[in-house]
Amino acid sequence: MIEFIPQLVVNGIVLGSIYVLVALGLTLIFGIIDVVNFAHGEFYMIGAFVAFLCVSSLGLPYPLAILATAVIVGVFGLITERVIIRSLRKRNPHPINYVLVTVGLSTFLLYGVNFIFGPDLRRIPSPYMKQVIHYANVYLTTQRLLVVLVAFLLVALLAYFVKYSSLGNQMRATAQNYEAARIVGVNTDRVFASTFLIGSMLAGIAGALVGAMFVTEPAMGIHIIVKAFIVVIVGGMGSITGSIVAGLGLGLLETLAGAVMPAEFLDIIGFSIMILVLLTKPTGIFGSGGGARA
Amino acid sequence: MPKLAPKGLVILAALALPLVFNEAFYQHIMIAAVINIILAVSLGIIVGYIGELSLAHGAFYGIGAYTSALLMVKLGLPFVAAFPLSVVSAGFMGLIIGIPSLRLSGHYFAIATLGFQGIVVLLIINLVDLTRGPMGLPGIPSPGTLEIFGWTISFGDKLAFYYLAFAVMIVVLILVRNLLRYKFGEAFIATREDSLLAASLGVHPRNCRMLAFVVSTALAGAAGSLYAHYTMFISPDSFTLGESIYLVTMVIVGGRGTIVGPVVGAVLLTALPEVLRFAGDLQFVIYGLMLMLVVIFLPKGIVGLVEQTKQRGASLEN
Amino acid sequence: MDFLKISNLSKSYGGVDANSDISLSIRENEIVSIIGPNGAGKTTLFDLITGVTRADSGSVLFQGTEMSHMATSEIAKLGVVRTFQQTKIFRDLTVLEAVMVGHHLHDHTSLWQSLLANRTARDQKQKKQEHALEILEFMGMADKKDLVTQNLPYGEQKLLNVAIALAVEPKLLLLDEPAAGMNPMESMRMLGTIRKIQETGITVGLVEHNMRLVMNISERVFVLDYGELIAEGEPEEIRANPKVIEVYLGRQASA
Repeated sequence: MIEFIPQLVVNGIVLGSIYVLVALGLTLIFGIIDVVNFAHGEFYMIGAFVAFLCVSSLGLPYPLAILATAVIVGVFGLITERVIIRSLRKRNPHPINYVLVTVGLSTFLLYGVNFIFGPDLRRIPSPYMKQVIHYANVYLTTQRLLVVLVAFLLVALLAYFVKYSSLGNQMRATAQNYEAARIVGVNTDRVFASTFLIGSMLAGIAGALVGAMFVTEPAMGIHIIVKAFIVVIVGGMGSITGSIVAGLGLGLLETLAGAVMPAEFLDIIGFSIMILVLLTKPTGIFGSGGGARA
Repeated sequence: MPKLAPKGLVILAALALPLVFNEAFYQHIMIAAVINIILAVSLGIIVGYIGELSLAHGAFYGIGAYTSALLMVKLGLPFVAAFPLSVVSAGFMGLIIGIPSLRLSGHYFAIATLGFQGIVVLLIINLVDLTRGPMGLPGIPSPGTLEIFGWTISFGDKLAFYYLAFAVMIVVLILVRNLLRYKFGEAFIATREDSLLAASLGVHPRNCRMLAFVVSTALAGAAGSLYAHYTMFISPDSFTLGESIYLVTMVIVGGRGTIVGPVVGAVLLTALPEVLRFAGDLQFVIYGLMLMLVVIFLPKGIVGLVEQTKQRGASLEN
Repeated sequence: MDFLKISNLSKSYGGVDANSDISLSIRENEIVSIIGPNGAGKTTLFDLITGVTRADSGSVLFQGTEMSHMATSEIAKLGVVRTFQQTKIFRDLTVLEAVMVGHHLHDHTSLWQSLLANRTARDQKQKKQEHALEILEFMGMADKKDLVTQNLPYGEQKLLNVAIALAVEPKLLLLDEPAAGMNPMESMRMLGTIRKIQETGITVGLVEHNMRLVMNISERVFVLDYGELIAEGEPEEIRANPKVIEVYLGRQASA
């Protein structure tokens, strides 16, 4: 048993990195524009399908396909913000309405893709799936290593961007106080759009990576979004650090505890932790600010 | 009284409908519509009157269905006992889940209910000894027979079951209308509109929200019991997050903040799949689109649109 | 026994004292005002009395009952009701419906009676409606009863604030800037209304910036500055109090 632990830890980090990538976009969109995007999982799913088409239909090399996916899903997010989120913001900006509209979008996209491609399981052909790294008794495909590396790279880029770029500054100002940001001349429409763009790109990249490692299917989004909610709530809505810690934590918990108990019980535990955090500290372990309570 | 006439007509028409369209296929849709009306109207109390979004209504529907089915299958209770107990058990679970989660509001409440929805389905799947898990629970008896004046009515028959479900639905509609019309409904609305102001006037916002939630979940239990004894087979698939979203769509598309709205939404979204049957899964694409469009452009749903057109018509006449 | 007795009440936000060690009493059926520059802690004091925020320490006794640990709705049950600085009027209800909500505590319909819509439920609703109409007549707004509240002109929205609170039949009514933003005509009307309210036996506490109104109507005045009570007395005394002149008028002159 003991000898499997290093392997399980590595698997946990890989799984956790996926959770981090997906949760990052969700938490960014929530933290800055106060929208919980229930369709975020579908953006991830679409990312996997776009990458799949890029590789298998257009014959693009896999790394290039990932980049193309980031751009395409990013543009898709931009359109979503423009057409749906912005119309709602100008008409009925109640938090529940954002949930409803993104739930509608999620259903629309899930069954739309399902209608076009069918429920079959596909896998994005990736050259890195065949290369295996082997150290002591730990095995790892290059694909898995890539997931971890990309996750870390994007986290670092995002943190740097939010903290030091001028758009990042505007984003933080908007997150803190929307009205005040507008008064001092922040173009909040642009902030909203860029936030959605970045959040969607992150989801798309995650999809392109995972779709090569596991499977690409229409329902992959709903499987991941539930985990992403757990990560984001536990880590704190809007907190990047929180998402990293909670994402890696959930990944490790699932692989380590998963070795000794069935996955469904783990899901029950995950939901329970999420609800517990919501009730005791709705802003999450790393979150700040209030406003969650009735 | 003239105001009552259209309502009475609708009820009469609904009673006559299964006699006119007497094929099993149509009667089945009508029964499904009645059960969905109970679900949508009860969910409408939460969504429309306390202004929170519950994504767990499907779970309470399931709790009612499994309670009722297991009481009859395992303990051999008659329907007249299993039905009220399923209402009580769903309401009780509503209380247990409501106490913590109603402290939250807005998207946090929605996410908490999403979590409970997940937990309930996972429990149904995993408590295999009790529920037979994903295989589902077969062999649920029908509500049985009723002897009146020497007549024997068997509720295993679709037509008889329709009238039974319809009677339950009418009772539910009357109870909900009464609840919302008097003291408590006014307090719900006050809490929804401005909970701080309501509290300063002596309305207890948390108790109000709790009452609305428990009544709503209990009624979902009633729908669950009817469903179980109608289909005679239940499985976790019928009570998933997808079902909860479907029910929310009924309320929103019909029109929140009214009772008629969810009724209209339920009828529409029960009939639509049959109309759109040729479209297969494409129907869900349409629901998603409908939900988005209604939330953005018709915040009061179809009923609100009708009201608006009526008012416009009236003001044109003047 | 004092009608309302506040002792050593304190509340701080992140190290800033919003209310610091405040003690004061209000006698039955008087009109008192609480004045002070912006940020002096006047609204915080109302929040603490009515349980909207919890005090860090101190006590609030109303007719001998300790209220500092009670929820807002419980405090309303005792007969202590406040209005808010912002207009809070249930924006989507009609004027009559909004005032009816104020009479909620006097509606004794039980859940079962309501579900069955029996005679009690209907009678109670009828009574509530009649009472709300009386209040609206008292306020001179009966003709507006069917308007949606948000369509009222500003001055009448402020009056509606008071009407809704009056429907609770309070013993102590706390009004947070009832005349803010009103023109002279409207504030004269508000002044008359507050006097009429006192005549019905209700004790009134006011937070108000309109000095003419305050000095005209109050039997006693409390002055807050930086969360501390710096003076109390009759309007004439307050006007002559050098501390008040220095802190209050001095700052106004420099502004």
